[in-house]
Amino acid sequence: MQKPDCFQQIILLLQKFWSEKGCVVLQPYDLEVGAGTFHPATTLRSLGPDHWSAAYVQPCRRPSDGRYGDSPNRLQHYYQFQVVMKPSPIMFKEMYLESLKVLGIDNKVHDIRFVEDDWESPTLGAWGLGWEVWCDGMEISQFTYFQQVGGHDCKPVTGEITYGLERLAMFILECESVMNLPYNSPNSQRPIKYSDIFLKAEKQYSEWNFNVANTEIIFRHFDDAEKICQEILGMGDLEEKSSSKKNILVQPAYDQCIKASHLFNVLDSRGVISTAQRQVYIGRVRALAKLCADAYIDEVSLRV
Amino acid sequence: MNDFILELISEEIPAKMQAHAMRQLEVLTLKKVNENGLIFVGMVPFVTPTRLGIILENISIEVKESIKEIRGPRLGAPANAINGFLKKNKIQRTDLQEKKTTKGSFYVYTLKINTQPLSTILSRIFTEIIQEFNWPKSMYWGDNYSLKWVRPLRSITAVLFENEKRERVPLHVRDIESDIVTRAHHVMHPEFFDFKSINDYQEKIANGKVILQPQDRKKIIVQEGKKLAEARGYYLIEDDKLLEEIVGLTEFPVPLLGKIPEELLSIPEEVIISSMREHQKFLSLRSSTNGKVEGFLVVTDLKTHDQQKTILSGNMRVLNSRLKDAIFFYQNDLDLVKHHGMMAWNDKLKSVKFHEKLGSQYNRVERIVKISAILAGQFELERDEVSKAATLIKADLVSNVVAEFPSLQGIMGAHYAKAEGFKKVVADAIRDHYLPVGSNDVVPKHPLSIVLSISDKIDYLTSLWKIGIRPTGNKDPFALRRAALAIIRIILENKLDIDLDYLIDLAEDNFDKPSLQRFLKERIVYYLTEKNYQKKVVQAVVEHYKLDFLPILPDMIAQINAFISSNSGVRVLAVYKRVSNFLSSNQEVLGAEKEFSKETATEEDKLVQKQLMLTKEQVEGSLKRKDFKTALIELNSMVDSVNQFLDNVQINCEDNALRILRYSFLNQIRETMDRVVVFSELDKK
Repeated sequence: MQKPDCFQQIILLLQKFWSEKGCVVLQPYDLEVGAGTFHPATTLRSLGPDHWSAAYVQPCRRPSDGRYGDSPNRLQHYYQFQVVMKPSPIMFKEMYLESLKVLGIDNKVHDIRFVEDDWESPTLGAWGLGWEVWCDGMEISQFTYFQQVGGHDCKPVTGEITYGLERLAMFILECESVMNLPYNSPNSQRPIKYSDIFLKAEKQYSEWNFNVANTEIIFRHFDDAEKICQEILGMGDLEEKSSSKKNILVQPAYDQCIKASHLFNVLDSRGVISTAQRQVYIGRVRALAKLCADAYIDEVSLRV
Repeated sequence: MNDFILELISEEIPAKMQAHAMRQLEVLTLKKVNENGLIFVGMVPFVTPTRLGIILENISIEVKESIKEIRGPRLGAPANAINGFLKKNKIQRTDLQEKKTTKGSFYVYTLKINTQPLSTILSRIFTEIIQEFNWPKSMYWGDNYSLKWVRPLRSITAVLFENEKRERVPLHVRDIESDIVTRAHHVMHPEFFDFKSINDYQEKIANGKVILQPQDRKKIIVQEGKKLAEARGYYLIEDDKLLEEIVGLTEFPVPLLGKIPEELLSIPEEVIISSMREHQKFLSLRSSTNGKVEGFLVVTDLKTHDQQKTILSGNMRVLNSRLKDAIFFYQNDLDLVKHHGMMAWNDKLKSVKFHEKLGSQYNRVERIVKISAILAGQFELERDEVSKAATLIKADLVSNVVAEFPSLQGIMGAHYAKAEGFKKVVADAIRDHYLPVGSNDVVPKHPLSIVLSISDKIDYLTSLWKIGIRPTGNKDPFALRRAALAIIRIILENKLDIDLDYLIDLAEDNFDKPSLQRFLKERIVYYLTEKNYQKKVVQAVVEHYKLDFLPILPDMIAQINAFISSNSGVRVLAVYKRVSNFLSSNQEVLGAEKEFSKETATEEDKLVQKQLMLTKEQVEGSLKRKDFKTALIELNSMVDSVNQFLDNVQINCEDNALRILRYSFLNQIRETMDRVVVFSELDKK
C-alpha cells in the first residue's frame, strides 16, 4: 500500500475511490459555506425520494476560527471532502474503512474508533445520528445518517461522510502544523507547501473577519439576502410573485439562504451579535432553510 | 439441555447507552419468557460496542400440553344450538362427548392445546423484543422504514441447542434474516464462524478477542492499567465515569501508557487532566514520587504487530497539539490577568446571558455582591474583602480556558486570582463557592467560601423562582432542587445560625415567597429523611416551624424522638389523645360562641385554667428562645392537672355554659401542645 505524499494526492485518491463506488464527482459549490453539508448536492438532494450519490471537495469558511495562520490546526478557510449516498448503502461503514486503506491508513495498525457524535445543524433545521471517527485519537471524519433536513424526514436516508482534509493530511503525512503540509508532491519540480498558498489569505481574512468587515453593510446584506429568498419563494411583499407553481426557483432561493448564513458567521466573528441576538439570527436562517426545503419538496411532488 | 443465544450485531452503539440496553434486554426477556410459559436456569446478557445479546441456559417449556374442556348445549338441545356450537369451535359431531354434571347432562368437547416448538416461541419472543426495544435515540437507515434502531442493525445470530442438535431460530426483522454464524473482533478476527454449543461460542468469541461483559473489560483496564502505571512509577487517578465510557468504546481493551512531554507540563494540572479527558478520553496518571500529573493511559481496541507503537505515537501527537492549544489559552488568560486584572473580565460578563428575564451574569454578580456584603457581618468578615471576592467569582467564565473546558469554572478563577496576587482565602473561595456540586460532594468550610456559596445559591434560587421557574415531577432543568439542598446542607453541616427566611428577604422581594418556603421545607424533609430521621417526626416538625428553625431542626427531631419514647413523653401523648378524643366527638360545641358565666365553674375548672395559662406562657417563652427541650418539659408539667381535671369533672355536663367553658379549656390545651409539635402527626402510622 503506497501512502499518498501530499495534500492534493489525498483528494485525488478519494475522488477516484468514491467515483468507483458509484458517486458522481462534483466540484465545490461556488458560494461561501460553513460546511460541505450546505452544498445543494447534500442539503437539497437529501430531500425527496430520488436516489443520489455524490462526492466533492468543499472549501469551508468559519470566520471565528481564524488564527492569522498562527495555530497549527485552526483555520478560517479549510477543505472538506464530502460523500453522500442515498439511500445509505448497507456496507457504507465498510466502504469508508476501505477508503482509509486507500489513503494508507490500515486498521490493523491504526486504532479506528467510532465515537458517538450526533450531528445537528441549527441553521439548516437538520439532524442525524452518527459518529466522529477517531484514528489513533485524532478526529478525522464525521459519519452521519441524516434523519431530518429543513424539518422534513429524510426518506430514503442519506448517509454522509465528511473528511476533514487538512486534519487527515496532517495525520497521514505526519505533519505537526497545517501550514507545513506539502500541497503537491515534495518530489515535484516546484514543491508547494500549504502555507505558500494560504498563509497570506489566512492573515488577511482573520484581520477582516475580526476587525475590519463593515458590519453596518453586512447587517444590511443579511436583511437583503433574507428578503430576496422570501420573495423568490413567494413569501415576500413583491407585487409580481416569481414563483408560479410550475417553476419554483428553489436553488436561487437557497443561494440566498447560504449567503445569509455566511454573513451571520462574519457578524458573529466581528463580535457584534449579542448572545440574545444570536438565537434570533440563527432562527432567521433556519426559517429560510425551512422555506427552501418546503419548496424543494413541493417541486419534487409537482414533477409527476 | 436446551440453550439459546441471541446476538444483535449493529454499527457502534453509543457508549453511554450500552449498560442500559443490556438491562432492558434482560428485563424484556424475563417478562416475555414468563408470559410464554418458558423456564430457564441461567440468563446472561452482554453488550459490546457492536453487539447486544443474551444467553438463556437450560431453557424449556413448562407445560408441554394442556387440556381444556369446553361445555356445549344440554343433551336434547335443538339441532341448531348443537350445530352452532360445532361451527363456533370448528369441530365435527364426532368430537362431542356426553357428560353428566350436577346441573344436568351436557355435550362437551375436550380441546388439547399442543404447545408450539421451543424454537417457534423463541422466534416470536425475540421478534417482539426487537420491535419493542426502546433506545433513547433511534434512527432509520437506507430505504426501509420497518425498524428503528440505535444505529444500523447489521445481523442477527439466534441459535437454539437442543440436546446436541443445533437449530437456527428464525427471526426476521427489516431485511435481516437470523443466522447461525457470528464474528468476533471486527479487525483482529473478522472471519465468520459457527459454534456447537454456548461454551463453544464463549470460547471462540474470547479467542477472537471480544470480551462480552462490560465489567470484565473494566477489570482488565483497571488491572492492566495499574500494572503498567506501577511499573513506571505512576498511579491512576480514579475516574469512574470516563472508565465506563472507555468500556463502551472497546471490545478488547488494551491500555497503553504514555508520558506527557516535560515542556507541556507548565499549566495547572486541572487543565491537563480536562484536556486529556474531554478531548482524548485519556486516564490521568500521577507520579508516585512527586504526586504530579505526568502520564496518561490511552485504551485502544487493538493489538498490532508493532505492539501498538504506531497507535501510541499517533495519540502522543494529538496530545501534543491539544496541550499546546491549552497552553496558548492559559497564557492568554494569564497575560490579561497580569496586565488588566480579573476585573477586566467582569465587563465581558455583561454579554454573557444568565437568563432572558434576569439579564446577564454581570447583573447576577452585582446581586451576589450585595447579598454577601450583608452576610459578611454574621461571619465577622471584613465587608470590603467579601465584596471584592464576590465581585470576582464569575470572572473566569469568560476566560479562554473555561470557554474551552466549562468544567474548570471556579478552579481557573482560583488560579488567576493567585496569579493576580489575591490572598489564598480569596482564591479558595472563588473555587469553592460552587460547592457542594453533588449530594456526595463536600460543603465549603471556610467562612468566606461559605458566604460566597450561600449568596450565589440563594440568588440563583430566588431570582429564578421569582420569574416562575419551578421543578415539576422529575423535571428540574435549572437544578433548583440541587441549589436548595446545597444551601440546606451548608447551614446544617456547618451548624450555622442562619435564618433562611432572612436570606430569602435579602435576595428578593415582591414574589411568591410562600411557595418557595414550601419548596425549601420539602427539601429539608427530603434531606433529613435521607439522613435516616423518622419521616413522620421530620414532617411534623418541619411543617410546623418557620425556616429560621432550620439550624436546630436535627436537634429538635432528636429530642422529640427521645421524648416520645420516655415516660413523660408517653404520658404527654396519652393526655393529648384523651383531650383529642373529647374534642373530635363533640365538634359542634366548639363552634358555639355563647356567653358563659364563670360563676358555675368548680375548683377543678379554676385549677386547670391556672395551669393552662402558666404552661402556655412558659411554652411561648421557650419557643421564642428556640429552647425546644424546655418546652417539651413544660408540657409534661401540665399533664397531672389535665388528668385530674378529666378524672374529676364531667366535661359533658348539663350546664350549657359550663360545658362550653370546659371544651374551650380542652381546645386550648391541645393548641398549647400543638404549638410545640403537632402530636397527632407523630401518632400517624
